[in-house]
Amino acid sequence: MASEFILETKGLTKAFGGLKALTDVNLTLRAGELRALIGPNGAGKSTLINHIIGRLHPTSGKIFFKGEDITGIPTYKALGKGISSTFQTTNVFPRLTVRENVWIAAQSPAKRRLNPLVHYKSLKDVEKQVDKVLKWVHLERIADEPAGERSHGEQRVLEIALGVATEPDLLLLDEPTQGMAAKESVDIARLVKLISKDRTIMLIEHNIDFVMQVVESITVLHNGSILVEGTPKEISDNEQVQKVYLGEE
Amino acid sequence: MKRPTSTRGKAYISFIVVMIILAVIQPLLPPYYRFLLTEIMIYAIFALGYDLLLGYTGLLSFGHSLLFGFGCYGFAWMMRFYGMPFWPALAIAVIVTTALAAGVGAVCVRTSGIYFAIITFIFSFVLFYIFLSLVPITGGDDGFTFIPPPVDLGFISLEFGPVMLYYLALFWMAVAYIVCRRIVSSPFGRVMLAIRENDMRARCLGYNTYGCKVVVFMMSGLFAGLSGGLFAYLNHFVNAHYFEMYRSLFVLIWTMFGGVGTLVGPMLGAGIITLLTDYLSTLFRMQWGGVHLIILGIILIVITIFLPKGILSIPERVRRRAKKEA
Repeated sequence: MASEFILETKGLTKAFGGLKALTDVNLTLRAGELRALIGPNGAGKSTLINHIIGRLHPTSGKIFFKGEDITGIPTYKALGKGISSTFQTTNVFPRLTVRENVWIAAQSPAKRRLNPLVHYKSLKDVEKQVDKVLKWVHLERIADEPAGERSHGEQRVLEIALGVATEPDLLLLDEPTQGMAAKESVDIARLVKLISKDRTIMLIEHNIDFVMQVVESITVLHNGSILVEGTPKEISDNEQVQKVYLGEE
Repeated sequence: MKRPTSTRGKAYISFIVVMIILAVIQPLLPPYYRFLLTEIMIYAIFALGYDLLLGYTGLLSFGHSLLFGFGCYGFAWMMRFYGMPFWPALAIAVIVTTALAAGVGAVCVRTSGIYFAIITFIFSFVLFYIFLSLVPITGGDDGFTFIPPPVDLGFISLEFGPVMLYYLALFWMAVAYIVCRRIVSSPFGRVMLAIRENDMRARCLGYNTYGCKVVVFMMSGLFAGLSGGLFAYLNHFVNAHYFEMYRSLFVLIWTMFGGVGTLVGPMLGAGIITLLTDYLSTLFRMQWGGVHLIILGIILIVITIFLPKGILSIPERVRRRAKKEA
């Protein structure tokens, strides 16, 4: 056991020119945890996620995943380590069908994933996984339709499906309810809870009601550093947090 | 579950039927058209490789004459300097072109979109002028001819001639088509589509898209090399103009005209455009030189505007319209 934490950032700092997006962020995540990362706009939530998946490289500081230093690895390698992510803006393969979308994700951990000479349907494990995931997120109904032609809500669900189809150990969800109606958010909440049974999840969310009903612990980010961490109850009672959210002026 | 297998089965049957038809009609063709069809089948191989890159991976190259021309020279040099037999020369043409594609691809696929188009264009442009000026090796403007060797099949040696060339081209076109069809329906083919649709997302899903794109560029180089080698053999002549811009343009036009990302479309496109160019140029040769290119241009503009997915999308369009009216 290299570390008791599945994810650990040590003194993570990122400066874009003079602007500090992250300042000395020390975040730890235990295996199996369902954690929310909240904070006002520009607090550095997405920046933090982009560092974990290697899309951004820190100015200083380190990131450890299962005890291994993964600071600055290329994006495509993060998934091989067991980190998957979904995106704030819907980010699917628009002209491919829903099934093809999920297939591409599910194929990623497979052994013959880059074989150019066998038929892709010969990867039976992938096919099983695709069926399983589609059933799970209730998208079988529209499986053979182009993803780009589906509703925003369905594309958001597909986004999550792409995230889980690779069977990651750590799933980073960046605002899964972004732009969704209240009723649809309830479905997403149920889905997130379901997914969290087998894996660690870090959830970025603006929708506080959503966060309160879904997660066990919350980290509040403000101006690029961690303001406070605690249970939903502790966070909602915290004066500093109220100030940040309601404004001081 | 049954449906995909049967459509796949149907596709293979129609493929075999077309191949048989092409094989059987050969004796009925006038020599001129036999030669033209041979040329078209060689072009089709080039178009297939190009479609892997453009249609399936979404990379628009403006410099594919580079790879085609290199395939031609790879073959011709083996003839001129080493007097090699047919097969090893063709193999070397394919290998060196694929190697060149690896090098050029490694640089070019760092960019995408319009930058990719420009940088591939520049590469081919530079190589064209290098080949134009290195007269002792390339023959430059005038090029050089060589004596085409027979094709040795082990049990029989076929002398160079129009009938043999026809079947040689047909054979390689069939092989190229089957290989390309395999590639696009493989797990790797799925990744190509993912890159075409959303490169960043594919990367986040764990695919090294840069590496994959270099490999696709090499694949298209392999087919360009094969096509170029056969083309040089067919004409037993090469010159630096094999590198010229218009070849890059034509392979793009065939692909767009026939239907991007369909494999069959670009082959069909190569055929129709080549026949059309030939017909129009003989029609107008006497009076006004070059007019045929203007007419061809107009046809292409019309097709691009009204049929952006190429002629292969016509049946689908008709079906959709019928559905709407019903």
